[in-house]
Amino acid sequence: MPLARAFFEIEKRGVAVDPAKLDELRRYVNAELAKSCAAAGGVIGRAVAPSTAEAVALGEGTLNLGSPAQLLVEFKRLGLKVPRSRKTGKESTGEDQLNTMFAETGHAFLREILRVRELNKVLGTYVNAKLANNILYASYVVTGTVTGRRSSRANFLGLGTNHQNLPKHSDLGRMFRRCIVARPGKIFVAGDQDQAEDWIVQAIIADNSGDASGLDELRAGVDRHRKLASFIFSRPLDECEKGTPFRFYGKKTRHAGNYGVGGNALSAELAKEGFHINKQQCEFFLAKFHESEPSIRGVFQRYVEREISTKRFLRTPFGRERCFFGCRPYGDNSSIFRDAYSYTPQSTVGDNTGLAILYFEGSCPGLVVMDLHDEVVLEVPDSVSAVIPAADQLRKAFDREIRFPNGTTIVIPTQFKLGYNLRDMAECGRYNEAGLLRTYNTLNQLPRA
Amino acid sequence: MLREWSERDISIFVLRKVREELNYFLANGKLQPLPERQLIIEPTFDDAFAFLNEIAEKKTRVSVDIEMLFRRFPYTVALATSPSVAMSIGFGDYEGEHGAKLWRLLDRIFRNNNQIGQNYLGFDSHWLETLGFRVNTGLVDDTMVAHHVLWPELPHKLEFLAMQYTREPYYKDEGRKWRPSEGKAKLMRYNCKDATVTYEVFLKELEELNFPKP
Repeated sequence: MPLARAFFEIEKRGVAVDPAKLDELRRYVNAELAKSCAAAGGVIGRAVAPSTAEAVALGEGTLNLGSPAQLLVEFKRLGLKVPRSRKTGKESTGEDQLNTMFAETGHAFLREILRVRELNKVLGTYVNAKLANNILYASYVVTGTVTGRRSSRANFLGLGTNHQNLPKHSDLGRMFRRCIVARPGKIFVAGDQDQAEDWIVQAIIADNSGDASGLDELRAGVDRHRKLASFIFSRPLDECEKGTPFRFYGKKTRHAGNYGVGGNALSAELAKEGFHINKQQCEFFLAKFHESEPSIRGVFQRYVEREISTKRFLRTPFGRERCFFGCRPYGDNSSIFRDAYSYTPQSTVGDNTGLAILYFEGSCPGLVVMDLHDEVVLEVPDSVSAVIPAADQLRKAFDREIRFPNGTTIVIPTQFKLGYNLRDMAECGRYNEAGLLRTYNTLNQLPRA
Repeated sequence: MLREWSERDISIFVLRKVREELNYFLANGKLQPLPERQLIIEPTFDDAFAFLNEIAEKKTRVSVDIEMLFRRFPYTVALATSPSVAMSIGFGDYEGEHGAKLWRLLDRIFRNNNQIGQNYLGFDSHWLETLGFRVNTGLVDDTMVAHHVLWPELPHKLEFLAMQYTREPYYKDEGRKWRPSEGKAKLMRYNCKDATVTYEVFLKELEELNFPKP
């Protein structure tokens, strides 16, 4: 309840948007939409429109990309095999199916359709989100997920949008994040729990089997996503640094492998961020992952299955419980198990973030502007005397012992970032006053866009 | 239930409730009476003033619910002082000094009294603040948040909570299908029912959370 009360206040703050940059992005997206439609039209030899209204305006014979029925006919004409939806069993033109088709065939028409969809999504969800005084609001729903993480959406007046799913790695995502700026005289300070869910998974492994090798690596500060990427792609570590696609693949593969996700779903997940890797390649990534980390299946997943099968519920180290009603005493429980693998890591990290926000709002009210699941973004006055204490307080807010049933104890470290917009945040690493000061001074010397 | 295993436990729970009702009928030869609720609608100024004034003076815990017109404008607010008594007051029903006096009393209640609501922190309190009231969120308990803590995997809508914790028959259609042409009284009755049911749900949740009763 106290957290719900804290979010009641946080929601009123929102984040500022630079209107000039947003207009620029809107123009870019519209130009890209026209370009992609023209390119798609070039492939199939007739006019293509991104929506029904524009298809009507362009006249008869125009392919409406917003019409699944028209798309299905066009795919058949092009000789493309359309995958069926798992839910309905029918051929589908949903995002996941298109991504799968594109990853399999690399067809130019599919590339353009996916681009149009991405552009439409960014335009509708983010660029054209309703603003009030150039503030992008969001409503955080504390009851929004079964894990206890908050979900986010437009607020009660229909203003703003979901703050937690802003695209990050695609060109459009980067451009939109650049539009989100600190208010005049303010600066963003972000604290991000470093490889947070991996800490929980490795702690469960150590707690249940005594194998603390993964946990020791985390404690020693090893970037395990980078290490995994280097192993999968047989590349030197320095080619898999943070910000490279290799590390991103490594990170996504680790999450998929931890939570029992298959090649198809991993391929769809990567495609959401603009990386089109087919199912076979994804399966290869996952096979390499399990080769390097046998204890994920051997200990972590087995522990979850045992708990669910014997008790039907999971309890996180913070005491949050979830019953798995769908679990049967016989038959196939694999989809329940897949759901359950992610529960403890996601819930624990989400609760740790929630507790950190609660602590922070209690000690320095009025500064939290975003909850990004494993990251908290503050907006503080743009001065050393405000930034350093805020970061220190945020470190204390996250500095929490997490104890597992057999006595394993962890503290997830926090990485800090500073910046004047959400995209160009300068990394400062773990809390270090001198490092923060250096980063702050460097940022201040840069020309501000 | 036969096709969706995850619904099995909910179905068993519902069937158990049916059995309880049947057992009562078999033992008493009549249906178990429904919960009695005194739902006060379209009150006169004097009635509304007396009701609100008593709540404000005694600092009674109240369950609060607002109803919207066309999902865009706050229209009425219901305050329940127990699972059996509620009054619904139209925001724009009283003019001049009368209106001002009631709004001031409401504001005093939202600032000083313990309040209960279903998704109160996510919806109602935002609207109340938009209308100019100051809601003391430190005094608010939200039945939706409590239910999420108790049963994260179950639905958290009031219709489900009413089924789980009360004997109130399904009534949500009365509000959802309401049209202005049906008259304000019907919406106000629904408004009161929501507030009383929320109060009842809150008391049951408290028991489940092992907190002392207020």
